[in-house]
Amino acid sequence: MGDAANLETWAPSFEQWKTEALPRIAEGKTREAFGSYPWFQTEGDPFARLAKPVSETRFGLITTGGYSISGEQEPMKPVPNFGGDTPQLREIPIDVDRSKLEINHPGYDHRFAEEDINVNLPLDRLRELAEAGEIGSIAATTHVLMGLVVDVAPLLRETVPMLVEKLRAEDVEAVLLVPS
Amino acid sequence: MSLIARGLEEAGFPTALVSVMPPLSSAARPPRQVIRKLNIGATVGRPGDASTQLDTLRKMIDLTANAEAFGAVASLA
Repeated sequence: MGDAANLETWAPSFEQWKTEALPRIAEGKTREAFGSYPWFQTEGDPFARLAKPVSETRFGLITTGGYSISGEQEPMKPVPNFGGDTPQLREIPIDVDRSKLEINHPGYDHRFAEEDINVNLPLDRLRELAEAGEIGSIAATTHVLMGLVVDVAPLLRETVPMLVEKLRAEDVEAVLLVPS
Repeated sequence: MSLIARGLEEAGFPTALVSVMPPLSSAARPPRQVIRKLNIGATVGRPGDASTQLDTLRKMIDLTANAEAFGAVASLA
């Protein structure tokens, strides 16, 4: 169960916070509203051991850069998840046509990534590390989220198991996580 | 992102998170993180600076293999 076991005790405090916070956010008092956000209390110290050298390991990449592929995927909605909705997820192939990538995330300055995508989607650098033999390989798919996950219940109950399934399907053995 | 890292480690995947906001990332207790003094939106490194980007990734990769215990933290400038 891990962290999900604590959701039942966390959920009432989140609902209470939401009741008070949403009107404040609607008034533009976002900082004030999040000042009383009930941070989720984690449970346990999960730690996995790598079973082989990194030079033989297949790495996966997950980012919260809020990317989507123009014309092929629905753009990500630039709003926080305040209740119930499963966090948005897009699959970006590592050989994606860069000209079709759009950044839908409202929470960071896009100029850095527009100049060099490797600042938060380091596809070229990981390919170079694989080609140099420093890592075994990179999964063909990068998993992209929006971040801004305020209601962590669907994240823990749905998104994490979904990611585990997708990573296993691509024989991923270790995962690098890049927030934005 | 820290909660995702925790869920993946519980499922058997070693992970490494890079953070430019350690108070925020640390609150959710990621198993392993690399802390960098960089901008939000350029978490891996500055644009056009492949050397810095590789430094971040190499440190993350090293943590997936060589961190000794839960809560491992590596800092880079």
